[in-house]
Amino acid sequence: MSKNEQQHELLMQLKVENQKLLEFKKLNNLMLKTLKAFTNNKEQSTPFRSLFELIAQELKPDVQLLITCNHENDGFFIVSSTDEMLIGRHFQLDDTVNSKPEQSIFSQSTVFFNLNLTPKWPASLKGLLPNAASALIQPVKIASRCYAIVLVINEVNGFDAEAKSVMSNYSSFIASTLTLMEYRHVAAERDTLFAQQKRIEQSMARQGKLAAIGQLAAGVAHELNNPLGFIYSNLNTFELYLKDINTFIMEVCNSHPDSIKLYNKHNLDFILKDSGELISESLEGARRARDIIKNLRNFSHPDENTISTINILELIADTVRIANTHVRKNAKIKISHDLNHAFTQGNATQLSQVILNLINNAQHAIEHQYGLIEISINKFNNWINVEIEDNGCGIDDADIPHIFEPFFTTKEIGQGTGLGLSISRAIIEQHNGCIALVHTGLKGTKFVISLPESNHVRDD
Amino acid sequence: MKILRHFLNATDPCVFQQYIGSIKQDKPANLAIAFGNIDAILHLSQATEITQLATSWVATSSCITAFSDIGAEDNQNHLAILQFYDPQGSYGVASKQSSIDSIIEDSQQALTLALNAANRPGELPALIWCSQSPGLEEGLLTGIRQLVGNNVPVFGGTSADNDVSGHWCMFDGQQTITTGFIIAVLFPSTPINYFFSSGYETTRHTAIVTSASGRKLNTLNHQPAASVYNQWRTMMALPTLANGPVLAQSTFNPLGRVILDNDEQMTLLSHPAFIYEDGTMELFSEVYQGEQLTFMHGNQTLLIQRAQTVTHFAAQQLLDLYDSKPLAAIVIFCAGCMLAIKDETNQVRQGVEQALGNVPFIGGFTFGEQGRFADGVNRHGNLMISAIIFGHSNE
Repeated sequence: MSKNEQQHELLMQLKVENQKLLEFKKLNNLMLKTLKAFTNNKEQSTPFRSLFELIAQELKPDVQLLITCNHENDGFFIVSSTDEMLIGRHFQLDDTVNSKPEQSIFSQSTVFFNLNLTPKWPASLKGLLPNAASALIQPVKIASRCYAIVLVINEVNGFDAEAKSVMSNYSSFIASTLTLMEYRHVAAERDTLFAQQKRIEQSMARQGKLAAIGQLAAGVAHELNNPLGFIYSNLNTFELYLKDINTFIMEVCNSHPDSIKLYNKHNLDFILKDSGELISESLEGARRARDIIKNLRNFSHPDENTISTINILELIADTVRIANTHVRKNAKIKISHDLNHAFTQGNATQLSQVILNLINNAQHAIEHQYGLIEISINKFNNWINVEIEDNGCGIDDADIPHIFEPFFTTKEIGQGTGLGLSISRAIIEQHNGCIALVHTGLKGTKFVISLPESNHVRDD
Repeated sequence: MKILRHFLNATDPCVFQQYIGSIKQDKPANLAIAFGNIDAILHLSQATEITQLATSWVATSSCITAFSDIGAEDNQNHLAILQFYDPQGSYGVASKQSSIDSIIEDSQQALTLALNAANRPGELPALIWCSQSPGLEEGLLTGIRQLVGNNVPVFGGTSADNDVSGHWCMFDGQQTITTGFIIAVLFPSTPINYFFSSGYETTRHTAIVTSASGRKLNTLNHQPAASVYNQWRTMMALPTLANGPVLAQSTFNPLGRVILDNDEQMTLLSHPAFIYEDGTMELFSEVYQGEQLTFMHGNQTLLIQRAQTVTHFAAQQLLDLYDSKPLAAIVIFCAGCMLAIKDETNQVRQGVEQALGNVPFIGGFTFGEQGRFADGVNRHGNLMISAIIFGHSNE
């Protein structure tokens, strides 16, 4: 073979290789641009759009779809598309041709040179893409899901074998990139879980402390109860004695008028009157101390399995009394109702815990010194509604969907367990009731608890 | 994907039938592509249990004999078969008796039927394999092009006989076809690569076709075509050719149709078959008015080397592009070239064997070659050589 001819021969081979290299150049361009798009784009909702733009530059399809199979109904869902109208649309496989999504035309790399010749192109997709004449389908499989990219051209013979080869090679890259993104997502979830785990551990530690404090409180309450008993008893006796002393002095003054001077000199009129008030106030103080001790004992010895008929009005009054000890720093609690009683069947400790959680949350939302927490109770049909409203800073819109999720909290780690509202909802639902956020905003937040009224006692 | 190669002696129909029975598998192959001389194809068509070997067949008569990686002691009556077992792939075959008048329409219909048979209607296959009787090649490719464009490679060989007496034939597993074609569509689960080229050198002698009709070349540069052709031969110190059949004498000096692609020149060969008294020439492929023809030159060494080079290139590309090693191959070698180097034919087989290593292959000597040229267009040419390599899965 002459040298000239050898060179020509080589040229021919290089020409064929050049065609393939052009194909790889397309692929490389796609991959490079994809890498840039994926690494620069931090929002995970947009990579598919970037992908479409890149594919459009190289293969010039009229419409692009990213679909995924919906195993619940053996159909497909359009995740993304260059045609906005198609996003979110569903389509089914034709029963007579395709059996299952994983064995359908969307599960293998395919070029349809003329869609009118194939019965495999689903009629429902034909309805969505009435002008489609040729199509290239490329499945993209990642660990968690199966996707397929569908490219459509509105003329027959729109795609050649090279386009299929480019997409086929590109799909592995897309899958790898998507998997990488998924790993990132998993890593973020792992961090969230670590934070939750930390909160749980702190919550458990705090519960341990609370249990210890509860036991201590029970002991202190028991010990205080005895001295308080004789203080209360002695004050009562002393009140009776004072009445007798008062009677005696009056009788002496009546029988010996000279003694009145002495009576006035020592200001006995004021002393006797003030003594009665002092005893009265001391007795009131002792009664309040007795109530606090009683509530402490109730909290320290929770009767969690005890179901009884509860007067919600009394339960709220008792709970507010406890809550007031820390709420009064920056807020007042106002209770309003026009009911004589509101009975429900349930566990008093648990329901009290719910009211206390809501009051605590309300107090945390109040960042000024003019806090007001209003608790209003009413009845409607056979339901008791307890509305708890504050004038705090409200809940962010983004947080609203998550407030009843376990471990969701807007507080710093260590400041809240994120369990309050989720436990509250669980308790209320166990009582066949419901709890809901009525409204929230910059002027405050309102929650409502609805509990079924106990059948055997009615107001009217 | 599993490909089995058989090289059966088809001299005695009874013994041949026994061979057929002995190579049966539990299930028939998706497709069988075969080459053999006329007797071998006819014996195949008369054998029983053929459809148990493969559900679809493209068996093409080869000039004198067929070849494979198994060397034969004699050069006659052998049937070379490749059986494709590919449960993950799809294959379909359709055939038609046809004529020059209806070939375009017939090939479109047959391609549609083949796609239906593969259960892939409307889908682009990885390869179209064709076999046709001489004269129908351009029409067949036109029909295919009208349906699927140039978007899929089309390869194949024109059926041949031993003496251009018109006894060529094809067999599709059901019927024998003498004037018509068979089309197979292949959707294999593994990669395919190919190369299509000639074994000839260009010369500085060129002319423009000023009159032509189909395969009849009337004038070159407004002079009788045979006169121009013989002038070129004289200038190359070759004897001129007399009127009458010239197929054998013109084998080393065919005409090259110059195809320009981005200023790059490629040549598709057209083999002179007959010189008429009026100075016109009958060729083995169509030429068109306005086309540039060049006088080509070849020799035994070039042709013998060529099959090895083409096969090596196709196999190397398969590895480079798809990271896939050859599983089996088909090599098409022009019957005209084979007749010109007849005594050295075994060297062609050995060259292919050397290029492929221990990979099984089959080949046929055909009266026309179809393939995808370097510019991505499927064409029919003469005196061409092609290699189609089926690769292992690259996963």
